[in-house]
Amino acid sequence: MGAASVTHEQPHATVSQEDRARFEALVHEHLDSLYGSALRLTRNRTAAEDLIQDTFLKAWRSFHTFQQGTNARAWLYKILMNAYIDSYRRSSREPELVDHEDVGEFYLYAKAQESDDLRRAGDPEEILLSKIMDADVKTALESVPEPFRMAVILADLEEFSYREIAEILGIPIGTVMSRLYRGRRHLQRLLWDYARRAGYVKSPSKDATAEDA
Amino acid sequence: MSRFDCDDLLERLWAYMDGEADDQARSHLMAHIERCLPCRQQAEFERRLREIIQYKCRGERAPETLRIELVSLIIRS
Repeated sequence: MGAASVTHEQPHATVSQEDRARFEALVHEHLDSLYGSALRLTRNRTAAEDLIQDTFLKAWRSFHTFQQGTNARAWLYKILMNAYIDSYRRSSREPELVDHEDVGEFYLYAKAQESDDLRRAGDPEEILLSKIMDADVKTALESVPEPFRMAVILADLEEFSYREIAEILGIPIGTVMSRLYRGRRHLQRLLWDYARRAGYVKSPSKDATAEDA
Repeated sequence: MSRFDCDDLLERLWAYMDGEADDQARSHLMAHIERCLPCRQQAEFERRLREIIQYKCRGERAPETLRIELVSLIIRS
């Protein structure tokens, strides 16, 4: 490798084999979970791959600032989230940052309880959960608007603590909680819409035409 | 915080499910759930809903090509 061919900044002039090995271990350990989150964020495989490349490139460039023994997963997620936020700010495909829907009081459980159709069909919660099991939950999650989706992904899928999420997103813990709880209500609303569209009742013992009305 | 209103269930439950409830909040929640059937049923519903969401949305595997590209990126730099 001729050094003359290098035109961009090269902070790793003194990079050791040991650093490379340590970083490569991080790639192998965290790639799948980061890629999964990138997919849920970007909703698109190509964009997710680009985001992951960008994330690991940035991580590698600042690897010398990373303190061994600290939380590598949170460190990588912080870089991922910053890269994601940068990418949608730069592009015209900025996600909906305005929360149009009023989901303030939306709760799936209450909806199940209130639904005459579900009650008539038997155990409302049971039927609703089985509908959700059949639903495209990934697409529902991907339809939760930002910045709420980031919080839901970090908490519900990646199981970071509120403190870690606050650090990753650079926001106060109170904001983490309000985004997370709002994001969950959005998701519950979307799952309810899926379940409703799918129709409540599949029970073969029921008269199907009466339920379809 | 000692009084427990059923209207407060969900946010307290979520905090607990997120591993963010302290011992006191946790014991208040548990005591309430034990004597309040509707809240107990809702807690069970939320727990199962979370499991379904995790089951359906987790477990992606990065393409092998991406893994190889990332590793070669480190080697080249």
